[in-house]
This record gives sequence, structure tokens and C-alpha cells, in this order.
Amino acid sequence: MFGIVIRRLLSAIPVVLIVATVVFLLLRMAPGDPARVIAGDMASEEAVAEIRRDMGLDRSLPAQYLLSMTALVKGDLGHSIISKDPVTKMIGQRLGPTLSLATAALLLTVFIAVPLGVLSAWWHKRAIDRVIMASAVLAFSIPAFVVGYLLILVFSVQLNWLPVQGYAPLADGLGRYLYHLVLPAITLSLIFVALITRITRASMLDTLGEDFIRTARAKGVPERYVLGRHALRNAAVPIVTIIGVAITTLISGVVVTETIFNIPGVGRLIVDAVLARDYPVVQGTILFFSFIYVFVNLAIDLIYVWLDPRIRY
Amino acid sequence: MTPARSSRVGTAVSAVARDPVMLTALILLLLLIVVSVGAPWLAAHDPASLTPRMRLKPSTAEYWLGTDSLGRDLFARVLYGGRLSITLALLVSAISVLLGMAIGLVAGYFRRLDAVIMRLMDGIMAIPGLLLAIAMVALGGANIVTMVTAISIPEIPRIARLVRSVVLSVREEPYVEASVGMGTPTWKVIVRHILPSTINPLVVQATFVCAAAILTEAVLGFLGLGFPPEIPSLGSIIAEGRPFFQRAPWIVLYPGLFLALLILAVNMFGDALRDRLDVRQSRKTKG
Repeated sequence: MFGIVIRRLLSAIPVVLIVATVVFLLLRMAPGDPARVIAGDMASEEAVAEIRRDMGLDRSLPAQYLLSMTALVKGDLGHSIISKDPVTKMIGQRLGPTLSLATAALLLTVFIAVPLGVLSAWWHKRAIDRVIMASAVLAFSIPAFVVGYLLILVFSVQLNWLPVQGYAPLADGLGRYLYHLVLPAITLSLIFVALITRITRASMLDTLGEDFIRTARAKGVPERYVLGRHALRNAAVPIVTIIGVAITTLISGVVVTETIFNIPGVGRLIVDAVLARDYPVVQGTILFFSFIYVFVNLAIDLIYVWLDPRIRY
Repeated sequence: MTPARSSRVGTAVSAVARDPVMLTALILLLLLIVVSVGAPWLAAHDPASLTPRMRLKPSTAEYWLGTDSLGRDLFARVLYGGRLSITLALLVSAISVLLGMAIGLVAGYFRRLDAVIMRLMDGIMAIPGLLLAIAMVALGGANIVTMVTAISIPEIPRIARLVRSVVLSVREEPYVEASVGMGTPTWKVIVRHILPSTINPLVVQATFVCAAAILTEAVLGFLGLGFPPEIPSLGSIIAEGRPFFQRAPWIVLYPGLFLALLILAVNMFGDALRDRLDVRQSRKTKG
């Protein structure tokens, strides 16, 4: 197992470099001149030239590339134009709320979506199945910000049960922390619940048709064990794969949810940076989130080995 | 129109009429498209004309969906926003399908290029699409070219992967081998024998790209990064309504409802199409 971990970690290095290169190329190839955008419409040519020099945009493309890659290898994501703080530090300061939100949403997803998917597969083509699947398509189609405002309208404005906006760190006590986290976590998880429910159902249906399930039932294994141990464990690989791929959806959702609920997280950081035209922060945050994606998927590769001992790398 | 063609259209029509999900989705979708395209004729007010004394009014006979914080007619703004969403979705799906198809065909057919191209595609897939769009729009300004580019790029790798997988499975088929063996030029093999197999999954995927593009444009507008305020977009109408949410929730809710219905119709249509056209994919998600 240790060997596998080391080998997978090493194999992530080229992926990280490719991702960094792609981000670099796409942002440099984007139409428009970042220096001019940062300087604003009223800026003089000199001011634009100065910003260009400051950001190293006057150098040749290969020189810029080399510079940002060497910085990256040292763990440097650049500095904010406005506060002059290192981007890594700014991300670090805002990581708590984002991690809390993402974890809460993932937990909600797994605890709601997997049972729903199993139920749906078990009642295949019956009323329950149809209701669950129809709800999943519906939930998948409502944008997070519409859901968020509906929830606020009902639970915060009308019923006055939950706060309209804001975030409380865990240091303020578990109660306050969860109180502020409920609505954002539900908002963020909804699209995920829809997605994972569908995948769980599909994967369970595939597995339930296999011979070993028939054998298990024939030898008198109780149905809850057939579903839980025999079927779900074998159906888990595609479910976990989709969770990994959908991490990008989760990250996009974090950006939107943090904006709706005014949560000071990393998602909010990128939106504020864009509005303030703080270009290095934008690029650094994108890189950060992309690396998260790479490492989550790396972790998932390792989970496969545990879920299904037949898988070897 | 030749008889063969009209009978194919007839088959398609009767197939749609027998599938209640597809029929519902199609009717809803057509309805939304018609009201959006017909916005200039359906809306009694100009979406940009300000009537300050009528600000934040709930729906009335004159203002069907009420007014926003500047006294603009919400009905007109929502319809014009829908028009923008639909236009953008069609542009994005046309561009990403064309580019993704070209990349997928090349990667699947020319083995030497495959590894390089697919690693690059993996790289793009690792970047959260919304963030990439945010950054590109922030750098390039919110004009239609940047917007379409920014929303298309994250979709291209998915299309390319799909096309590549179809190409990989089709190119080993005897009829393709036979054609290659008879000395058919490569471009002709691709266009005549491989391309047709990619059409069905591509049509299905294109509808999902439309749904994703509508959502991304709305999110960009919601975050304040969309088109300039004089162009009504569903996302930016919602963003402008946010400060008045407790007093006038309809400014957020009506465009939100329109947006949700639009995405729902496209998704339902895509699901129904997939069940019908793409046997391989539909086996994965349906029983």
C-alpha cells in the first residue's frame, strides 16, 4: 500500500505541471490586455506600461512561463497587487469556511444521495423510483443561487429559524457554527445529491443484475445485507469516481454559495479579486483549486484500492 | 423533400409524440424559446426604460412580473435575459461541439498525437470551468467573444473525450479496416465511416452543453461579472435584486424560475434524447 501511495504521488507531479501550464496559457491567450484592464479605462499609457512591467507582462512569453513555474515549484502563487500579501497566505486565511462548507455539503450528499439511490434501484420502475428520479432531474436543474434565495426566504425571512447570511467559526461554539452552516450546506449539496442519487441508482441496477447477487439471495442472505454488503460495495467504484469528477462542480458551487451567504471563504476571495482586478490572486486561486481537484482524484485512486482489492496500479 | 426524408421526419414526430417526457420537455422548451425570441413583440415595455415612481412594485396588470429597483419592467427584462441565454447557449454548444469533435477525431484516429492531446484535455478538465470562465471574462472584458470562448473551453475536453472513445471503438470495425485496406484516403475514412457514429452521442452531449452554458452565463451575471448592466441577463437581474430581496423577492424569484425552467427543459430533453439515441450511455444511467 505504501508503495502505491508513493507511486501515485509521483505520478501527480506531471499532472500538476500540465495543469499549471494550461492555466498559464489560457490566461495569457485570453483576449484583452490584463494590464489595461487592471489600470482601468481612464489610465494613461505610462500607467499601463508600469503595471505591465510590475507584473512581468513586458517579458517574452517563455520568460514569463519559466518565471511563474520556478515560483510555483517553490510553493509561491504570487502576490496580491492590492494588499501585497502572498496569495498562499490569503488562501490560508480563508480556507476554514470553505473547507467547512465543502465537507458539510459532501457529508449531506453521501448520507442523502446514496440511500436514495439504493432505494430507487431497489424499487426500480415503481412509483418511489419515478418520484426520486423526477426530483433528481428537477434538483439538478435549479441553479444554486435560486435554491439559496428560496431557502433564505422560507427559513430565514418567513420562519425566522436560521440566519439570513454570514458565517461563524468553530471557535464560536459548535452550535453557532452549525446554525450558520445549515442553509449554505443544503444549497451547495442539492445539485450533488441529484447527481450522486442518479449515479448510485444506475450503478446499483448494474450490480443487482449480477450472478453473485442472485446467489446471495438464493442462499438466504437477508436483503439488507444483499443491498448493503454485496451490491453497494461493488457499486461504489463508479459512485466514488463521479464524486471525484464532480469536485469541479463542488468548487464552482462553493464560489456561488459563498457569495449568496456572504461567507468569507476562498470562493469569495476569487470573486472579490476579480472585481478588484487583482489578477495574481485570481490566477493563484484558480491554480489552488485545480491542485485540489488533482489531489482529491489522487486520493480517490487510493480509495479504489481499498474498495476493490482487484484494482492495482 | 424526398419521400424517404419525409417518412423519417414522420417517424421522429411519432416517436416524440409517444414519449411523454420528451413531449413535455419539447413543449416547455419551445414555449420558452418562443417567448424569449418574441420578447420585442410580447413585452409591452422597453427592458431598459426607467420609471422611478414605479420602482419595486409587485405584479400588476401593466407590469406582469412587477418592477425592479429602478422601476424597469421585470417581464421584459426576464424575456430579454432568456433571449441572451438561449443565443449564448447555441453559440457555445456549436463552437464546443465543433472544436471538441475535431480534437476527438484527431486524438482517436492518430495514435501518435493521442497522448499529448489527451493530457492537455485532462489539464483543462482539472480546472474548475466556472473559475476559468471568471478569470477569462475578467481579463478579456464581458463581450460576446470572450464570453463564448470562456464558457466553451471547459466543455471542449468532455466532447473530445466522448468523440475519441467512439472513434477508438469504431476504427477497429471490419468496415473501417476494409475501407482503409482498399486505400481510401484518411479524410474520407474519417468523414464517411467514423464521423456518422459520433453524431448521436454528440447531439445528446450538445443539449447538456446548452444547459451548462445557460447556467454558467447566469452565474457569471449573478457574480457581477457578466455583460454590462444595460444588457439584461437572467443572472444579473437576480444580482441586482439581491439588496432588495426581503422587500421585493420577486426580482430574484421570477428570473430564477425562468432560468430553472429553461435548464430543466433542456436537461429533460437531453435525457429523453439520450434514452432514444445513445444506447451505450443510456445503459449506464437507466435500467
